[in-house]
Amino acid sequence: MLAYKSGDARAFSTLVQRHRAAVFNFILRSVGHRQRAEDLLQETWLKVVRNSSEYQPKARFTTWVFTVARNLCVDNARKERFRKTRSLDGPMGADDERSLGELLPDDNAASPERAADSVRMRPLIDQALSSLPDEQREVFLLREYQGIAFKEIAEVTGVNENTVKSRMRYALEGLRKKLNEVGIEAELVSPVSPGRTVA
Amino acid sequence: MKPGVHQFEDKLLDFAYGELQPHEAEAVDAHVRGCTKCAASLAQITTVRSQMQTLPQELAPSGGLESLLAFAQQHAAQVKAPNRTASWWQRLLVPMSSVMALLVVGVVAWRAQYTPDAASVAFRQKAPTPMPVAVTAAPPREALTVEREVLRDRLAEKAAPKMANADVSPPADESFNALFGGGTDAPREKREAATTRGADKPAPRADAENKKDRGDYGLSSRSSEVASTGSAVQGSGSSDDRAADKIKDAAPSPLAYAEGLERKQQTPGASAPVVASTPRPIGEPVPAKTSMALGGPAGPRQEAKPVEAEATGALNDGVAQANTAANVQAQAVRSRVSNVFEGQLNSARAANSTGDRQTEIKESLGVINGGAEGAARAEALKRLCDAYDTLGEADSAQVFCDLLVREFPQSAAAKQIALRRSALSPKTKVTPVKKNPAAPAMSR
Repeated sequence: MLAYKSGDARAFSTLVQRHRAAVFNFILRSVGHRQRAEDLLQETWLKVVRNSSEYQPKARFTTWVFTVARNLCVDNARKERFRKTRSLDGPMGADDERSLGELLPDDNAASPERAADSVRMRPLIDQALSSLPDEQREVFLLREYQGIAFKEIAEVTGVNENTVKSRMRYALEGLRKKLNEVGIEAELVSPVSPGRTVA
Repeated sequence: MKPGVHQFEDKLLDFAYGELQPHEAEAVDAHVRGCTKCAASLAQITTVRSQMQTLPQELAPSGGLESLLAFAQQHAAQVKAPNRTASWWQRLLVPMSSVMALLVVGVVAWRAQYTPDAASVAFRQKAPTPMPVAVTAAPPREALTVEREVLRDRLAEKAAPKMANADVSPPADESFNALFGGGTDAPREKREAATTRGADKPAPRADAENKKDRGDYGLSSRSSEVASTGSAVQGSGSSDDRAADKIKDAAPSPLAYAEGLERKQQTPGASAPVVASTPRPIGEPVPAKTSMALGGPAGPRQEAKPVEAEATGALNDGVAQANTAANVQAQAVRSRVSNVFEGQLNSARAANSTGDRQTEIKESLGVINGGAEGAARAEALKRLCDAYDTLGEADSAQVFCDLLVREFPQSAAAKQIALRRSALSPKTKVTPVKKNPAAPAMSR
């Protein structure tokens, strides 16, 4: 980022290639809407470009870019607060009757059986994730999927580290309860037992 | 729950995500192996993590990536750009110079367009015919006089088309005469034609005849005077003051038309002769436009403005205002002049009918001093000639009779006077003169 700040356009390209997918997944899990997530992703990177002169190397670039993305997600959530939220299980559009979960690819599928289980579990997991409060969901997303440490999450979210850990515990507990409610048992999805199916 | 037993419970989260230091991680691991509660908590964490790991990572959309990179490249170029330029004032130098250059050009153009000197010079350069006075060699007074004459020509030309469009408006020459007096009432072609002739040579008879046929006796007389004036200035080698005076004498003002008598009465020191006082020097003030347009009382001196200031203002206001002012002024002056002269002549007629010669003389002199033209002037001269003759003032009567015979030789009154004189004194002969002779003071 410092290289781009000094005028090296290729450095920015490198940054985009490195972090774009992670930022997109974070935004997508946060807003739960693909088209809106794409718009927010573009807006996030445009904001990174515009505010590149304000970047300070005190924090990692990852922390900074996720801070930008998170703020945009929060703004979007405020705008969409009074808008009817479409369920992840609902149809994606008039021309596409498949749900968002059905559209998601399964790169981790090791076998057809596991792929089938993953396809069946994915909407349930998305539903469980969506049921979390925003502040818990963002902490879980940043820590679980983006690998950002609690200390950095505290910088991103603007709260102290203990609050982040507390939110994380609540998020894990909420997910566990939700997954049990929808019938996903731990042993069925355990990595050590890939052959098991969802009940 | 004893605090020492589950002291690592708060670190289970960090332990599950591998954020503990190695020695802390070993301590927690050792504790979990011996603590069922902490082991259960850790198991719940790992179970949920295992379940949520089945959610795959999404591929970022490719749409918008190129535009994003292009925008980033452009932004990077902008970031680099200020480093190449030296300072802010150098970046602003070119646009500021352009703006200043445009301002200078605009000011120069504006001054060239609206400054009277530049306008008159440009007009002289554009004029198709040479002016009778060489401006470059002329002294300041003469140059100013000629310049004003050019200005009047220009305004008259501007006013002419609009007046021609109006049904009630007279031709351009008449409107100009009404606006600026009869001194330059002759068309420019005639003046120039007269200029080419000798200084002592009068205007051709045909010219005068044409004027007379239009009932424009006074104008024909003055046109010849103007012609001779131009010739005198150019060819006779007379003094500059005389030339300027001739030009001034050849340019009566609207004030002379409408306010001549009153002006003379207000300035008793100005003992101008009868004919010479009729024209107005160019520098004399002219009536205000508003008072004439509204038909106010005749001749308030306070409303008059110097011609120079008026001409400068007209040029500054632009051609449109000049046209409008010329139209308004010409119409107002015409109406006022005709009304004033008619009223004075009516008074003179009434006085004549009652035998009050003094009043008749006074009213007739008012008509003459007001710069009446044509029939009004002829009638006033005739009445003055008769009235003075009746009163026994032969010298004064002769002056006006001579004027009548000279200016209107074809009129019945002039012929009658000539016949009477020839009957009384065969040796008496009236010869026309080129310049107005000295006449008795008109003011009484």
